[in-house]
Amino acid sequence: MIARTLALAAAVVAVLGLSACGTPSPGQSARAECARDDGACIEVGVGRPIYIGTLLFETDSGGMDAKRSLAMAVDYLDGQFDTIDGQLLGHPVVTLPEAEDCTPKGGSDGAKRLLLEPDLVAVIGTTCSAASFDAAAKVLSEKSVLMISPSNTSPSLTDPGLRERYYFRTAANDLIQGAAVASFERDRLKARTAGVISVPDAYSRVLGDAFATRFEALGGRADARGSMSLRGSAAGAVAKVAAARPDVVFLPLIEPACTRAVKAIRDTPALAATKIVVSESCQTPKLSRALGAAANGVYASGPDAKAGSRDGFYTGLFLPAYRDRFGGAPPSVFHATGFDAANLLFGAIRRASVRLPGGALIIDRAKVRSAMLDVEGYQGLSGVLTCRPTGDCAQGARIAVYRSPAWPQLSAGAKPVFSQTLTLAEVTGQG
Amino acid sequence: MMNSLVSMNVWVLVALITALTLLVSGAMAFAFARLLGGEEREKAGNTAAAYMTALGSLFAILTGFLINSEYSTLRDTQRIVGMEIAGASRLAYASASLPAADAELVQDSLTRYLENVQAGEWQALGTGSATRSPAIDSLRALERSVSTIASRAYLNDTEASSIARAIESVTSARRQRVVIASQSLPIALFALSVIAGIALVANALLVSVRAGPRYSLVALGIILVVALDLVAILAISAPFRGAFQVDIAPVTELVNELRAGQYLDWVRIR
Repeated sequence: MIARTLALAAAVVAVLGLSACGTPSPGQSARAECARDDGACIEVGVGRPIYIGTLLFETDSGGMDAKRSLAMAVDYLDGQFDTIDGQLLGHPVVTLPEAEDCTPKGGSDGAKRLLLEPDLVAVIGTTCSAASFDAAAKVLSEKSVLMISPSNTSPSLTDPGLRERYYFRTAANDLIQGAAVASFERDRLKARTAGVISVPDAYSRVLGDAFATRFEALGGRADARGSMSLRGSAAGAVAKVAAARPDVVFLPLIEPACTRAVKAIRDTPALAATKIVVSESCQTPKLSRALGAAANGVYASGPDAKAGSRDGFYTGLFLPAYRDRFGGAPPSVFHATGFDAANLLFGAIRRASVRLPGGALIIDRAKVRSAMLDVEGYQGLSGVLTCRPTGDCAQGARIAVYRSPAWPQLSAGAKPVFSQTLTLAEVTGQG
Repeated sequence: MMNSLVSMNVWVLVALITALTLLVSGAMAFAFARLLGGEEREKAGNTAAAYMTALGSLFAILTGFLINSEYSTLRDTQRIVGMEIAGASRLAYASASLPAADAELVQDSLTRYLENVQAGEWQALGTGSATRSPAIDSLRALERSVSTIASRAYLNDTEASSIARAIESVTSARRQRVVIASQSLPIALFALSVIAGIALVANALLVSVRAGPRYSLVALGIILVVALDLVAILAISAPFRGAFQVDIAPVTELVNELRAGQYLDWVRIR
């Protein structure tokens, strides 16, 4: 009888024990799920920071703008631009800065240095497409680290056949800018022939190609092509283009190539009547500072930062706070995409994290990527964002063209001489 | 003493009160058997039978009143929690029309407040230390961020007033919860019910002593009913602790929805 009672009691205890094992805590199940995701998980202990890397070309105004925008976004985690950083899910956000130099090697090396931090959640960067394509984006994706670029625009980066799984960007695909610039030159400037001077990298060459293809589709001729190196002389490339005496020259370049190319064109008598259009990377105060009056009349294309923003937040809160904190207006158009990139990342981390009792977190980087893919119709400062598996979050953009000296970076009241809103679907023929 | 009783698990409470009632009843039965002779038993039994209905009614009225009043309080508290959740969900919906950074911020603060409610508010209210609840700081942070955002010029009046109204309903519902938590079972009425219960049991025992051991089952039934009635009163009288607590599931559900981004217009829910 006693033995039977004891056996019954043991059975009850065993059943209770098994049922307790059958209902794992959220932390246990998150850890188990993480183990299946090839260790893509990070456990952030109570009071420990969330590490976000930056991989930026900070001497470039776009890189500087992205860095500042990230600082603004971290500041705004407490709901105020008061230069006191807020917290994400009760944890401080610590940025790990690494530099890139607009080259694939610089991008890869910087990404590898960031990966030395095992708790790295994601990276904001790179500034240049050249540092991402087949470089940083690949290195980080192989380790399941999400990368969001505020300023990469090369179509190659989000080409379905070439894209990296953990790569996203908030800047608009250059297929849009290329098409808008082609429309501007054909329809507004009435140009029949166009030249392109580019650098052989993932950004410059591909944007030049996108422009030329569209310009020719609109009935123009864009076969005058010159190539230069990023830090080399522009004379050879300009001479090659000058031989064709095009109506307009498009310069999809970054500094210092931009200033050198514009100067070389201005110094070439055969191109005296040729109009110059530069891409968004050149749309900085550097060019006018370097060239003075010679920069006047240069057109600059780029995303219209004010187009998609909620005017009140952007103009009434963000811009004044930016000016107060950094002592001047944003030097490039990438402050809005930078702020959006940081906020999309923070939102994805919020939705993908498992909160453990006491305040610790488990962040599954694979889930952060999935959370990015759930973004549809986000009303950011740079426009409406919907993130696709290709990595493109800006599905459309309003491209504005300004004429120097009335560039927004030089004059607060600058008005565009041309603007066009295009979607990625329209320019790829899928719309 | 009362605090410990109302905080007990329902089965422990049932066992304890039933055992106590049986103990008291056993002692009374023993005393009656020892003290009353044959004729006295007959007289006492007849007298007790005459008062059975009156005592039974008195006990039923007293416990019925207490059960009804405590159950109403429990139900009201549940309704207030529902109001609070409705206010929180209105705030979440209203915040979705704010600029994206603000919407995330308000919903994040709201999530943290509700997580803290989930984690320790019931316990704090149950032990009468509402000011030590972890939810207080997060509610303060939520109110601060909502009022800061609502005062900004880039919001239109409708947006500003809808988030302000929603946070008001959350805070006022919480205040009502705190007030209810500070109330306790009316001790005098409960003591009166216990006395009425003892009198009823004594009466039932006297009747059964007169009728003989075969009828003691009737008395046992009454003893158990008295015990369970008292258990019922104690079990429902503390909405934030003990046996029958206010259900926290609506809070948990809203926290899960907020974490999944269901109140953010731009998050595709799979």
